[in-house]
Amino acid sequence: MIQSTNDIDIACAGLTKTFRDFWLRPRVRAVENVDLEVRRGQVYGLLGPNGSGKSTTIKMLLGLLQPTGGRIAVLGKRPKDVSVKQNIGYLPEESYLYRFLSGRETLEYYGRLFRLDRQARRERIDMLLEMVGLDAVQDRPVGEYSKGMQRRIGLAQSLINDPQLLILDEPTSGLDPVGAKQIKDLIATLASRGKTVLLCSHLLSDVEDLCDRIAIMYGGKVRSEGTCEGLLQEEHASLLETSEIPETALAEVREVLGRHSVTISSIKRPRRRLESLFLEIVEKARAEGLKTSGAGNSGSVASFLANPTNEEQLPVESEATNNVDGVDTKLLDSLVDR
Amino acid sequence: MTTDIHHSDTGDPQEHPPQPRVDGDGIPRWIHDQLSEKKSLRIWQKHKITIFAVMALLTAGVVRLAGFDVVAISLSGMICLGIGFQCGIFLLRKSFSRSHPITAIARTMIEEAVNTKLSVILVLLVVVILPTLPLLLDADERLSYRVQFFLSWSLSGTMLLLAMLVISLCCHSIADDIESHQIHMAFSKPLRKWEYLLGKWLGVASISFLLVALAGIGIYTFTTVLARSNAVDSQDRLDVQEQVLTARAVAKPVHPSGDAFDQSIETTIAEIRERDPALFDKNPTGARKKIISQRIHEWHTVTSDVYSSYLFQNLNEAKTRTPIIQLRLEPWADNSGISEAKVRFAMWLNERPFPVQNGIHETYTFRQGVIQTLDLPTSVIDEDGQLKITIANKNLVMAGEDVPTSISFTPGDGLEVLYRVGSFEMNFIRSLLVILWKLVMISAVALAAATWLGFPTALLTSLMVYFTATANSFFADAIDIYTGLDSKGATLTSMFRMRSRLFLERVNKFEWWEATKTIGSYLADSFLSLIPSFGNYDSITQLATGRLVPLQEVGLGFLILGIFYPSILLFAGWVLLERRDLVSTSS
Repeated sequence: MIQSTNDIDIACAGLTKTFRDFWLRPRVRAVENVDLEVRRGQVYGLLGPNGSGKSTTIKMLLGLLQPTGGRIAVLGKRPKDVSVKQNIGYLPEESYLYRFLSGRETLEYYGRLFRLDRQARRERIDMLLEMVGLDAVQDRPVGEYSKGMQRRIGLAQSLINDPQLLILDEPTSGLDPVGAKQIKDLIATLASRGKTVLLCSHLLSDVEDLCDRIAIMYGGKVRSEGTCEGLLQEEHASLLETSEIPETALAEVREVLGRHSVTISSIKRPRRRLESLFLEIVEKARAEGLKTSGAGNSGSVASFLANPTNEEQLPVESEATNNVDGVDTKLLDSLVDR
Repeated sequence: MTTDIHHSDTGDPQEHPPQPRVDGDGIPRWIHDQLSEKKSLRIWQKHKITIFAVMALLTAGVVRLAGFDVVAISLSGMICLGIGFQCGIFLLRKSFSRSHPITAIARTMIEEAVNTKLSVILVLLVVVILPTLPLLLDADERLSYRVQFFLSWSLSGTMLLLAMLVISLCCHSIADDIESHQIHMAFSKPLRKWEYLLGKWLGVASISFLLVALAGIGIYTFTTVLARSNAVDSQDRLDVQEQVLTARAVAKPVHPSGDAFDQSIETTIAEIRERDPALFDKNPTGARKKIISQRIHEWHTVTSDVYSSYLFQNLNEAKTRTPIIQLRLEPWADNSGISEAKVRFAMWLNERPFPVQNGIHETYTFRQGVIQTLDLPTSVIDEDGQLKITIANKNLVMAGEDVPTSISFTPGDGLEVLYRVGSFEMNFIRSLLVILWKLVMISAVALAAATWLGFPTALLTSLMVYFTATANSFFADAIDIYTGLDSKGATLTSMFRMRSRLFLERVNKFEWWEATKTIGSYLADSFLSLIPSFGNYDSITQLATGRLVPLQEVGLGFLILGIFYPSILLFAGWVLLERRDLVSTSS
């Protein structure tokens, strides 16, 4: 069990990664001097175009890559410390799974890596397969799964250990809007239960819908960081939402606003989002009993993820943090001293 | 707590393409759908090979009823091996069902082995070749030769195929994990690098164990069946039991040694030096060895009208264990240019003439170069467990020759006494164990190579190590011939000293190409010295010639090939894996 020294689950300071060639000459500086701080229970978004350094940052957080410079603490420990991974769930940008294992065998494999006993493993796998809607095709080799189904089994494996910290790299890529919405809903639910989620995506709507804080990366550097609200709010405009306004009332509104030197730049009828229209159609088709050979209906969130006792496994201490430039340097310093 | 994700379905046509009429495994879609409801599909998928095997077994029965007995036996053999493999895999899965990272990796390795095309082809080759091999033997050949040939070729073939399997599986497994990023998933879990490597090794070692055991059962069964088939004569059948399907200890004659022998060697060296000092000093170690080897050859030669005695010691065990010992000899007519020359000699055992029939001391006449086995009673061994065999050349003058032939025996295995000390079965198991140790070692080589090389390079490296280990002494001889040095028996230091001297000599004479060859031989020698010689553990030849595979060889093989080399190699693999970035680019 990991005893965090404070409520910060991820802290990086001056994180840098330079890839070198065979002769050890610097080739690409993928991440440069990145400072990050993700607090417990936050949904933190890492945004950026392809090649901006998001995935490299994540791989350093997971200990898969050695940073060239800087310091990292994940759940209060160095990423190289294997014990810290007991509480991390990771979904990579693509589902790197053994094609010859079936869906169930894949989850069995990852359950064994977490040393879950047979009973717990079986229960969790049943729940996760139902949750991601793959229980009907659990015995088919993953190689025969569609991309979306592979994504779902990938998500299931990332949750098998009931992680405190969930790192999701492009979680909705390859999924249809229904699957994407399910994942977004799941992330919201997990966050509401105190799980920390680091979400890496270049789909802006995903991040906007879910994240408490976001960092926008470009060229390996963090260009902007803050809460969604703070970063997206427009200072010099107002939005008034009403029921339908008759023409006469509209003329009066224009006149009143004109008296205060306020001009109306445009008046539009609100549109539905395409996503909600799509979901409505699918919902209707299912009500009519049409069949599909892919992933079935997703079930409720696996109950072991909902277990309130799980939250007690990682006590949050309200120790004061020593923040410099938004990063908990006390935590990082304590790691260096070890 | 629930969210609103329950009432949803997937509607993306890309994710759900139109359903094919048949499934990937050839089952009509409607059957697939029906079965998946009842979980019967799982039974079909997991046991389809067994189901096919049962059907094939029935076919074999029909073939037998049709009168094709041999084909039916081979077919049954293939089927039994196939079923055995399925059962073995099932047991391995069960034995690795524990919830631990090492067993999880080992179990996945087993799944990979049964799902990788190359592995499946190699396993099928073992399953098909073993039962087919007896059909290829010439039925007119002596039975003892056929059994010997089958044992030797089936075990050598199995070793080769399994080595290919192990190498390709190990190299592919790790290189593919790295290349296709599956290793990212694994190491994002609480899995240590050494646990990963150990799991892979354990998985491949267990598959090796299964396949060696399975091939062993197959080879043993076919050997037994073959040994019961028609023999040329009763002696032939007896030879199968006494010379092939047995485990015999070997006693070699005691070579001349001690101060007198050393003194005679020194005298010869002094004479050579006096004649031409440079001749000996050019390569003193090699020259000395050549002189000793020549002396020993002379000692194994019986010239005309000369008696030579050969003393065999430590035969007390033979006296208590068996009434008969075997004298195995391969005589050569040294000074005859006739290929079919014969030798004639008389023999005495501990000073008593042998054989004596009707009061007459009989002589032996044999064609040169043909191995002969003579049965001798153990009663001739004296109380100290010694047997002195005296051989007298009986001056046979071949047609067209004017001098009688001299008789020589190849030093090493040209003259030896053998006696039964154990059963064929015990010997067979020892031989299989030695094969297993070799596979275990070569799998560690492949795993270590794949931790830092890509698949093709790791594969080539592992194959090079395997073939070098198999033909280590051949390569050492080849290097010696290439560089014009005799380094047999020399230590690494003395070899380097020898080569350095030769290098300087060639540089002084401006023989640059020859000097470059010497530098190449340094590298080749270093490489060879790092790789164990499988020739030191030649259990297959020992088994096929009915010689005991010594327990010492099995134990030493276990320690060196099964423990020492894998430990070093896996440690090196762990260090490489620990230090390297598992991602080579930012993308």
